[in-house]
Amino acid sequence: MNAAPAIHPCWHMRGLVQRFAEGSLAGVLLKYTKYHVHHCTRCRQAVEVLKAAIARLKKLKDKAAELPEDRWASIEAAWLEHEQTNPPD
Amino acid sequence: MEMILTLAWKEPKREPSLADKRERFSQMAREHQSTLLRIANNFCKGNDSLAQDLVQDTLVSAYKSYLEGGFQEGTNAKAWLAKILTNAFLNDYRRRKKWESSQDIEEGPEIPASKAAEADHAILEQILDGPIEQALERLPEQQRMCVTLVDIEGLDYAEAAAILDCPVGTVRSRLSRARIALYEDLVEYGRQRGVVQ
Repeated sequence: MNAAPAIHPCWHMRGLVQRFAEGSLAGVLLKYTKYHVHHCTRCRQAVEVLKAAIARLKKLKDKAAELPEDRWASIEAAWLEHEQTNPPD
Repeated sequence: MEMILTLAWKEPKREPSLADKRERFSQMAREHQSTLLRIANNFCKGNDSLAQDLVQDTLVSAYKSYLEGGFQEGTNAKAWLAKILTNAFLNDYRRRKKWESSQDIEEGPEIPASKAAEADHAILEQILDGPIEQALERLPEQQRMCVTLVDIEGLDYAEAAAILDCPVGTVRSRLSRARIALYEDLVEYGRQRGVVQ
């Protein structure tokens, strides 16, 4: 993972390319970035890569997970124990 | 004219009982368990048992903090719990994991360089969650934490920066590197398995 990635946006565009891919740019920065990306293959490729990665990662959130009930029992027991050893003033 | 004076008597605010507080906290904890487990699982590189230990410890110490007024009602409970979980991970689990493993947890295998000039972005849609989670596990820890908090859990940069105790700019640059590395890793995975040519 320490190797430099093969996808390199222009050095001065790194932050803008990232925000452009996230859709968080506005105003003159958005216009400038759009213009640059339109004319620069490296930055265009980086934007596409970032957009694809962001979209796919978001889908991991759909995965629901629950603690097993025996874990909950241990947690609730620990809460009660704490209440008993640290009664309110 | 007769004036009727009504005295507005305000009942003093009753302090909720310990049982009420526990019930309220329990609801909050159950509501956010899925988020906490996902974060813990990514932090612990898919080790379910370790992730559950981490969430369990998080909820126990969060309850202690809750009783001491560490959480303000109406604020972002998810970010508050994520912060406690992250601190627990950084303070304890990472150390334990490092101790147990001879390999430095920060290091992962090198990402193969992208071979195609024009990668097919649709490949990411075709890859199942499992390989994506494995690719996440191969990221350096700090990058994995940023991706988990921002891209997967949807926290904003400022929240992630507060949780990770680093500047917003650092979160941004780690994310950028992580997303590109993940993309390259997954495209290579797809090529090896014939998902893309």
